[in-house]
Amino acid sequence: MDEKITVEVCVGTSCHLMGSSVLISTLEELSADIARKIKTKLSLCFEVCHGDKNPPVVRINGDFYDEMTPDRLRELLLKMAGETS
Amino acid sequence: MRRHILNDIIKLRRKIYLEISKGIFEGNIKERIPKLPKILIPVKNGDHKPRIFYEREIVKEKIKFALGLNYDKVKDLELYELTESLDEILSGTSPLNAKTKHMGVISHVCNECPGGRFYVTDLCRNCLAHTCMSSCPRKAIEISDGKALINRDKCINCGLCALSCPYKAIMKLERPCESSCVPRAITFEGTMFPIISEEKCVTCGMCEISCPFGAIETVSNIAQVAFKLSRKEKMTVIFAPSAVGQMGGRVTLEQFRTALRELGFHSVYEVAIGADWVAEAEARHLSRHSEPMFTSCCPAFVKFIKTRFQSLSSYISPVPSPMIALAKKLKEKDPCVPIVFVGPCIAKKREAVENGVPDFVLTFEELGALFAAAQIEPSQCEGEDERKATPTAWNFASSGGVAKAVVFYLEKAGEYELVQNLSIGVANGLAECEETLNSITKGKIEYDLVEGMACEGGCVAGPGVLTDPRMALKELKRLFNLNEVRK
Ligand code: FES
Repeated sequence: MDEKITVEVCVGTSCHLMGSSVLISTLEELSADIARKIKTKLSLCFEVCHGDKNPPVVRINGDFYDEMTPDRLRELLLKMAGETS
Repeated sequence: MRRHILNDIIKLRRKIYLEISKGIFEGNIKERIPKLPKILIPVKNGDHKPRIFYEREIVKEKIKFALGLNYDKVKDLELYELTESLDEILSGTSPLNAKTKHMGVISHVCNECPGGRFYVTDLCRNCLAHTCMSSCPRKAIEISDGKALINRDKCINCGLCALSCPYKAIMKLERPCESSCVPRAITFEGTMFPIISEEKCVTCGMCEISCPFGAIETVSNIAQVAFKLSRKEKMTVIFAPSAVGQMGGRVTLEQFRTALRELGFHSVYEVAIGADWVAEAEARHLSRHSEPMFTSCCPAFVKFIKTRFQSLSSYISPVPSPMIALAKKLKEKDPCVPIVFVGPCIAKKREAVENGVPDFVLTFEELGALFAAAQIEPSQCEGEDERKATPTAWNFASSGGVAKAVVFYLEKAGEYELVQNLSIGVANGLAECEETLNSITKGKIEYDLVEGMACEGGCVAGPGVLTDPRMALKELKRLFNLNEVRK
C-alpha cells in the first residue's frame, strides 16, 4: 500500500458555515489504522459552492463530494481504505 | 463544556440566514422570500411527502424570525403578504418588527412531545423479582404481555420504579425544551406546545438549540443589518472576545477585522477593550466594599439572579457589561452611527434592548451567513493589527476568565492581601449558577466574588457559535498564552 487517499476539506466561508469544522474533527477521530492511509489537507474555497455544489464540500482523490456529513465521510473513507489495502 | 452538535435544524437556520442576506445584497429579496421554502426543501423522487410539507412550514415560519418580526403579529400571515411592507421591515420601522420579544414558539410545528412521563422500554426482561412493582407506592405497575406496564390512572410520576429497575428499563421521556430550561420558564398550561414565561426566561437560548423540530426560534437582526450594509450606511461593529477561532482555525483575529471592514463596517472594535475597563472597575468595587460581588457580564446570569434569587440581587456588580460599556462610549463619540455587536449570545439581544445600546446584536452564526452571502473569505484577507486589550480581557470568553481578570486587576492595584483572602466561586453553566446561588441563600457557602456564566464552558459555548467550543477554547488559550483557570 503506497497510494494514500487525499482528502481535502474546504474551509472556505460557505463550507465553514455549513459545518466543515465538524468534518475536520471527524478526520481527527479516525482510527490510526485508517488515518495512516489518508492524507488530509484543508483547502480554501474550491469555487464550486456558488454553482451547483452545496456546502460543505470535500474533495477526495480529485472528486468533489458535496453536502458532506461526518457519517458519510467516515463511511466513504472506510470503504476506500478497505479497497486500497 | 456544552457538546456542540451541528444538526439539520441548525443547518436549516443557517441556510435561511444565508438566502435572506443574499437576497438583500443582490436586491431580489422581495421575489426570493415567498419561494424560499420550496428552494430550501426541494422534492426529490421517493421523498415522504408529508415530511416535505412539514419542513417547508418550518422554513416559512423561521423566515419570519430571520426577518426580525414579532411572531405574535405575523403568525397567520403568508410570506407574500409580508413582502408588501418589506422595505419598512428591513429598515426596522414596520409595526411588525419585534421590539422586546427575543424568543418565540412556533406552536403548530411543535411535535407536542409527551413529556415528563415514565415508560417501560423493551429492555424489560420480565424478571422474577418485580422490583418495580414493589417499589411503586401506588401499585400502578402490572405485568401484561410478559412486560411491566404502567397504569396511567394510578401513576403519580414519582419515578421510584425507574430507580429500582436493575436493567434501567424504565425511562422518563423528557421534552428537550423543558429539560434544557434551568429557570423553568417553559410550561405547558393546558397546551401540548410550550409556553415561555417572559418574566422567568433569561434568554439563554438553550431551548432553541435543544428542540429537535426547530419549534423555538430567536428573533434575528440579520436582515436589518444586511439592509444597511447593502445601502452602504455607516456602521460600527464591535465583537466579543469569543470571536477567536469562530471563522475557522485558519482565520486570525487580524484577518477577521479586515473581513468585517470588507463587509462594509466603517469602524471595528474588540469588546475586550471594554472587558479591561470592566475588570478594573470591578476590582476597584471589590476592594472598596465588604459585601460579595457577582459578575455582571452575562445577562442571562444577571436576570436569573433578579428573578429567582431576588434577595441576592443587591450583590450584582454595578459595573455594566463590556458590551454595554464599550457601546456607550462609542455612542458618546458618534451618536448617529449605529453599532452592531457580534457575539455567541442571545441574551445579549435582550441586554442591548434594555440598555438602548448597541443598536443591533448578531450571533457568529448570523455573521458567518453575511460573510458567505457577500462572498468574503476571511482567510484570504490581509489582516490589520490593532489589538489593544490585555490577554486577560480576552479570557472573558471562557468560564473562570472573568474572575481571573478581576484578580489580575486587584494584583495590579497592589491588593495582594485582599487577593490572598479572596474566596471565589465560579459557576459554570446555569445549572451550576442555580446550585451556587442556592447554597449562598441558605448560608451554606460564602464567597467574596462569584462569576456566573449561563453557558457551560462560558461564551465560547454560547448558542450562536460556529466553531466547536472545545476547539475555540484551545485556540483562545493558545493565542493568548492563558494557563489553566484557577477555581
Ligand atoms: S466555501 Fe467551500 S467550496 Fe466555496
